[in-house]
Amino acid sequence: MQRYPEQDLLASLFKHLSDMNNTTIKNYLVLILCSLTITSCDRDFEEINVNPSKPTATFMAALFNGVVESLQLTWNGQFYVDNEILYPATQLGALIGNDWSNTALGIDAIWENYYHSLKNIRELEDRFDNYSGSQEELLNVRAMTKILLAYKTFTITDLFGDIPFFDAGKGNQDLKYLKPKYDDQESIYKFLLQELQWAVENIDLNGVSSEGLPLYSFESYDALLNSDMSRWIKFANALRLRYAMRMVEVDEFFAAPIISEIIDNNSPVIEEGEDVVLRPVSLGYTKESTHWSFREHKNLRMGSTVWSAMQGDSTDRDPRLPIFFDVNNAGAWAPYPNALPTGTAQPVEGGIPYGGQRDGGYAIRGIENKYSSFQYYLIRDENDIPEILMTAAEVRFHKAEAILRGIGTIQNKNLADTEYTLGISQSLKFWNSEVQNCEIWEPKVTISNTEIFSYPVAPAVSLSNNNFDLNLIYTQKWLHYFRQPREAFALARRTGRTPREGDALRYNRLKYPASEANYNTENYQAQVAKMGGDLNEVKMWWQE
Amino acid sequence: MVPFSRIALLVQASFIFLNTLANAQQTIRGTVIDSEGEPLIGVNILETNTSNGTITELDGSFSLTLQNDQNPISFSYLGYADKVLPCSDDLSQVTMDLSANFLDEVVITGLDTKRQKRAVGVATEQVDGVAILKANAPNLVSSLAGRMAGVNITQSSGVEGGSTRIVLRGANNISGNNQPLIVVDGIPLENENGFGSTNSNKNVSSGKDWGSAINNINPNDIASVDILKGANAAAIYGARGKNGVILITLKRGEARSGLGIDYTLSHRMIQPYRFRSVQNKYGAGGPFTDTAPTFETNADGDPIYPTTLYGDGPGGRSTSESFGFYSGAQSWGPEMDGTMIRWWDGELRPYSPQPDNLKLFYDNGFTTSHNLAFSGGSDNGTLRVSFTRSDHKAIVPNSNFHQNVINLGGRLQVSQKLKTDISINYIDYQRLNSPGLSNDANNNFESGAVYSFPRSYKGLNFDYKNPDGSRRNISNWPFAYVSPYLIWNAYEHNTTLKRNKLLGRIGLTYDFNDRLELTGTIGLDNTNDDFTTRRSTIDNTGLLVDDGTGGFYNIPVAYEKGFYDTQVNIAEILLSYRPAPFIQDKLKTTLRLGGSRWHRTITGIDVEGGRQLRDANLYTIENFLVSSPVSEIDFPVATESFGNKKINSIYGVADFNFENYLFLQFTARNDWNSALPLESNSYLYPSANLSFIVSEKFRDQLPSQFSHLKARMALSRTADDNELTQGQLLQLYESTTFNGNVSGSLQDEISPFALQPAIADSWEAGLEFGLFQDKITADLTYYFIDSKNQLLQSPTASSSGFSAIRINTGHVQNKGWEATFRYNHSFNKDFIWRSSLNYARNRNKLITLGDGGDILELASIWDQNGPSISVKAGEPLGTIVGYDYVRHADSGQKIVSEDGLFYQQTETQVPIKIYDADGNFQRIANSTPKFTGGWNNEVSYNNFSLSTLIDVKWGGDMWYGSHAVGLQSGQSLATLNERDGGGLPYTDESGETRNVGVILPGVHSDGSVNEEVVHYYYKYLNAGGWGRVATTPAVMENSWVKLREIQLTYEFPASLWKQKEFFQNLTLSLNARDLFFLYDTAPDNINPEGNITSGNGQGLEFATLPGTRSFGITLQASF
Repeated sequence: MQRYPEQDLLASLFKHLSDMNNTTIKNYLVLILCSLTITSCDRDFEEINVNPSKPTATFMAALFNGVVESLQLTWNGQFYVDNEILYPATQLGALIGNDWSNTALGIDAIWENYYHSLKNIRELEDRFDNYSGSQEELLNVRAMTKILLAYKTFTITDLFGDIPFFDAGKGNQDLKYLKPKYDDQESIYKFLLQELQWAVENIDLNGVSSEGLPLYSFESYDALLNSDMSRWIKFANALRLRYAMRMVEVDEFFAAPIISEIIDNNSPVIEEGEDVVLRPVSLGYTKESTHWSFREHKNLRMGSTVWSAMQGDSTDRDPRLPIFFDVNNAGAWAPYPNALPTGTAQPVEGGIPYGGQRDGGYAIRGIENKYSSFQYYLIRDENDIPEILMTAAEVRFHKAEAILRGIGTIQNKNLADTEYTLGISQSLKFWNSEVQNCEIWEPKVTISNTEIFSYPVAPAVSLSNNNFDLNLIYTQKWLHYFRQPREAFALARRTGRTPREGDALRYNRLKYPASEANYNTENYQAQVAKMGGDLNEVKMWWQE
Repeated sequence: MVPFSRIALLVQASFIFLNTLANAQQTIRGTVIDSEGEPLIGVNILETNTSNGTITELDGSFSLTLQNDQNPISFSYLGYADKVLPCSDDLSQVTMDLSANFLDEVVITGLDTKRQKRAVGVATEQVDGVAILKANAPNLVSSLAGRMAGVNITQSSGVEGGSTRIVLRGANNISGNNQPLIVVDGIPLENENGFGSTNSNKNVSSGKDWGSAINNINPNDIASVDILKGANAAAIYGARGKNGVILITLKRGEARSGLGIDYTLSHRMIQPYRFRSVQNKYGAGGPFTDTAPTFETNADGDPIYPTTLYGDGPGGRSTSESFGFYSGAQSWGPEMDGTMIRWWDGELRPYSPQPDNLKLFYDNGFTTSHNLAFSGGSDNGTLRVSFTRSDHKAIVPNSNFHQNVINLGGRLQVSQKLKTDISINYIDYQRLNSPGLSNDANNNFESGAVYSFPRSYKGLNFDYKNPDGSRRNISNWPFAYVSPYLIWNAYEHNTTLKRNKLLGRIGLTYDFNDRLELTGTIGLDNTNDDFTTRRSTIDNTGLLVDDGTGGFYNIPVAYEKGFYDTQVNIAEILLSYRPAPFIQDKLKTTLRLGGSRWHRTITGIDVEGGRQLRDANLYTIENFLVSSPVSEIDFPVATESFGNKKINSIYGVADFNFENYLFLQFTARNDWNSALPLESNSYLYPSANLSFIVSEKFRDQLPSQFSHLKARMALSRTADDNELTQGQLLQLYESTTFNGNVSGSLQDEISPFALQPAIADSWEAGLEFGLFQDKITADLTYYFIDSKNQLLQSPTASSSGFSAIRINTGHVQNKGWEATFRYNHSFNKDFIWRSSLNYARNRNKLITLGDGGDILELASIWDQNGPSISVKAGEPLGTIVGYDYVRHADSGQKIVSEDGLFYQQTETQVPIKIYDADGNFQRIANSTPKFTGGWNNEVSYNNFSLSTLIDVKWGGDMWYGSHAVGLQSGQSLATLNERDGGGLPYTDESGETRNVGVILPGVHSDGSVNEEVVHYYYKYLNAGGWGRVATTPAVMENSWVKLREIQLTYEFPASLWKQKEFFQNLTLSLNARDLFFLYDTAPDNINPEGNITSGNGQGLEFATLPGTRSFGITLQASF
């Protein structure tokens, strides 16, 4: 860096002057003048220099509550990433026009949501380490924190690939952590799976230490599972199964024991009715973000790919179809094409199918609305429709796939078929109960008990009827993920075998946010060089 | 600590020392008077060759017992020529004349000390109160514009009463305040508003500018303003003087003949005159096809007012997708040829040009002030009491303010040894609506107009109210997207600021003897601000304030009430000691030692909420509806603000005067700042300055043309603690409620790991000389300022877990030249010409931002959807950052798409406003001027004097946002060319060929020159405005030369009333300010001075109010 010659001159002069700071001359002056002003020169400064407007302390349970709170999907994340990128990419939805070109807003929101809650997890970890009592007391809360860390981190790494992790979220600890280095996805995966294993092995269901004292508990500050430790174990095992399955294509050696432990040992996992969700009405908040992300975005419609997967023929139409699909302004089902033959102009579509006017006039979709939108109630509800973290049905589909392929367990087609069938019926039950629970949904569509039992074995759906085609499992899992586009995206990328029209999926990841390029420049550039560019095409570690 | 008794001992010791006097031989007695016969108090009288001396009493009398009656007697008095008389002369009445010597002029350099210019080793400037009054400027700061080298004044877009930015030399601070410390009668003024967030420097996109406190200082009460430009001069102000100091001295009254009453009337008419220039040929509408624009028709086939704003251009891309935000002001429609068409309300009206529609909102404003002052003096002292009433009406409707100021100033000789000095100001200020800044269309009318008034706009919605008082909802308003309720909001959303301010000090000085004196001062600066916002209800029930139909112009707050109280208390003590001269009287010294305590507390509470009222038109906090169906703010939300800070200081000043040609001053100040950590809260700020009067020492060696020559040099350390506020060191948490429980989070900003004040080390050197009996004088200065440890809120990578860190690492360097030349010639005693020319050139550079990122955004308009002002290491402050075109690697030419339609832009998918795809800084331009200057001329002939002031800013770029929108919306004159057939032959979709084509100059990505003829709108529509569009087309040089001021003053000859002894003086001044620009580079006649902020984000213009000029009259009468 260029230095002005004047600077050197000044520097040497001021070195002498500042040395004066400690000389007796100054002390003498201080003595005389402080006495002139009658009292000590910094009396009561300590009392003044506080911040009266913000808390300077909080307790561990409140921090944990904040981490749970951060599980809510962000507004811009839903708008610019889920709706604009992931729905079209997974073909669970279709875009009718160009995007809004503000992907960055969504990327920032997702990135910040993760890292800003990571710092609180780090703070919790720090407080655990410095806990005054015995570490044994912390077993359960430590496990809960690890499970949330794993959940949040898996979600983010699966969108970006390699991310800063081991040094991340620690900016307040030391200047060196202001610019955290990037960690490869594989090491993050393996670390988190070990952490989950630790959690499962260390959770103490009795909640009593070896000295007979009650273990530290977050009690009602656990908004997710209300400190029910058996459910935390199930959640952790379900996550282990999900992420072990996600890496099987590249490291079956690592994943198989985990899968084996869960399937063969019959480890507790989430069962029907135990889904891990954030339901606004139970947690005292309203979820305006989802409706906003559709209403303001305007451009998302139901696509032809989902339509094909659900419509069946007259006898085996997917019962979830009216839950997912809205009709167009003319009252007809009309999926928007997910892919067009080259040279074909994109069909013009408009209308206001997500506008607030439908609250009062459900049928008013706007005259330009020619294609099916997402079911209005599903995305309009702010109270009852939850944000989904993990469901029993998903676990069934993972098991079905593992058993059908013989990963970590013995291949057994019939057993796979059983899990698959259960998966579908649990999915149907899940979506049916969401509709029934949803206060604004009127009139309610219902999935009858008959359908719940008959649809999974309908000719086009049944696994055994279709030569145990693995793709069926992927299709059903993909459909079940209808409101979990990030999971559907992972499935589509891992298998490449979810329903699809047109070209194969080449969009594999989000680009890093600008804040990385701007403020974590060296690490960012090293990472970009490693990837051969910060490109959407770069694959996840777990993609073949 | 040292007990107080020790000090008493010290004082006593000095008494004993000083009282040791030699034997007397002869006693002389007399009186010292000035040329008008008034007694001079405190004249130094010295028996030369001895240390024997005295000072004159209140009546000017003295007596001195001489040691040797052969010694001549010297008389010296600040501002008067020294006199040496043999004691054999008649000394009964000694007359002293005002000093004619340039070097003997008196300046004030802090600590309330008057010094002769010759003794001052730093650059200072002085303006007297009369000049400020005559300038008749909107406020004190504006009256300084153009007068002095290196005193840079900028005005943000807005009307009078807003903040005026003043920066001495260059900007030293990256993100903090760059404005100097303002000291009124020794009391540092709280110039920043206490209600921080509503007027933040960074947020230029919204908020209102309620003006800075200096606006409240009444020009009528000012005796003089001294400007200490460099940190060197300000060293004595320690942790607050880094940006220089403006010392304002208020009047104290004087002994005088007559009744002692002064009356001053000043009236000023403010005229908006410089409106954006626009075309008046084509009206509303957008070019959705490339065929010639035609009227749409209704079902009956009648032509109607254009209703469609969004549509697809050729190729199926919608206009808004292609060109960004596509506003209601689009004027690409049919020619306004007077065709009768159906307006949106069904009326038939001619579609005709509306050349004045941009002027609809504006009217002339005025400011009137009356000042009545009583002053007088006697042997016991002087007193002045003044009352001023000012009224102002802004150039925009529904905005005005008035101010009452009571000022009391005086000096009183309580007893032989004790005197007091008093200055008290009470200010009562009330303002209705402060027109908003820049992009806030709810507040700034011009911002709404830029986007919503097409050229065919007739102002129909100015009739905004129904007879029952409810809002006239304009149905079918074609471009409702922009702001259908602009006019309603301008009239019916009212905020009132009531400010009471008490600023004053009382000083008490005890003269132990003529060598030792002790002064104690207490001062205070208390401000109470009361903000009340009431938004009228829009329906006739008187309940509803907002129905949510205004799109993002919704304001869900019906009522807001805020109280802010800022209290500053200061106590100071200063001991001055003037020992007897040393070295055979050659070396005179003055020693001063002082201590002070400064304490500021801020408390505030602000309550807002509710778009609905429970009881009609009742604006009380309780009457907010607690929840409403569709509101983001449903219930009263109260916000409290706090501030508590103390600075304790001790300081010492040692002045050495060697034979009146060599002056050396040392200062040292130590501050203890409560906002710093206890272990490091003490800082020492030393300085030294030297003045050498070469012309005195080497008179004979100098060419005779030199009437004086002075060299000076100064070196200092000062600091800035503005950014240091209470409680920054602590790790703070945010807390909310989730699931009925507390939800905690570390706040997103990392608290400082360590904290210290920002430090500026600087030196300056100067040369002053006079030629031909000071007919020509010059003052040249070079300075260098190294400003370190700046406290920044530096953004961090989110992956650190935090979005920012407060850190003491910013480092900026400034260096520059200042030059002032003055010419002063009397042709005869009635005809005098004075001229002064000033020039300042500052270069600054950001050395580093430190541990945070390498780049910091200072201000942005529209965040990622518009340009910003940022800083980056290695660059000067004030870099305009934005989107640029992609350019060909070899030729640097813009790359045009294969079909010749669009310029390629830097990729917009990733947010690379700041970095391009390679991580490089996308620097568009820099707003720092090359130089600034001024030229002042004054010609006096008999009782007339005429003066002119020309103000220059040269170089530096500006993003003219109004121009960007003007091009995109087809309002600019520049957009007429092709529409009027001046383009290339182009065949449109209908097969018609017209001369409306253009070739976008540039190359294709393969390097081949673009030769495709395309429709003209590809040339204009992507010129900018809101969106991720190229910033480049609207970035232009911002240089101007302005005729700032013309004054004509007539002083009625005394002979007119001498007999009647009624008037003492009667002066009439005519004044014109901001008359016009002699030269400017602004496009579309935009106001070149229209910055969107008075903060650090200089270089962005958007929706500037029209340029204004004013014509004033000032009448001063003394009785």
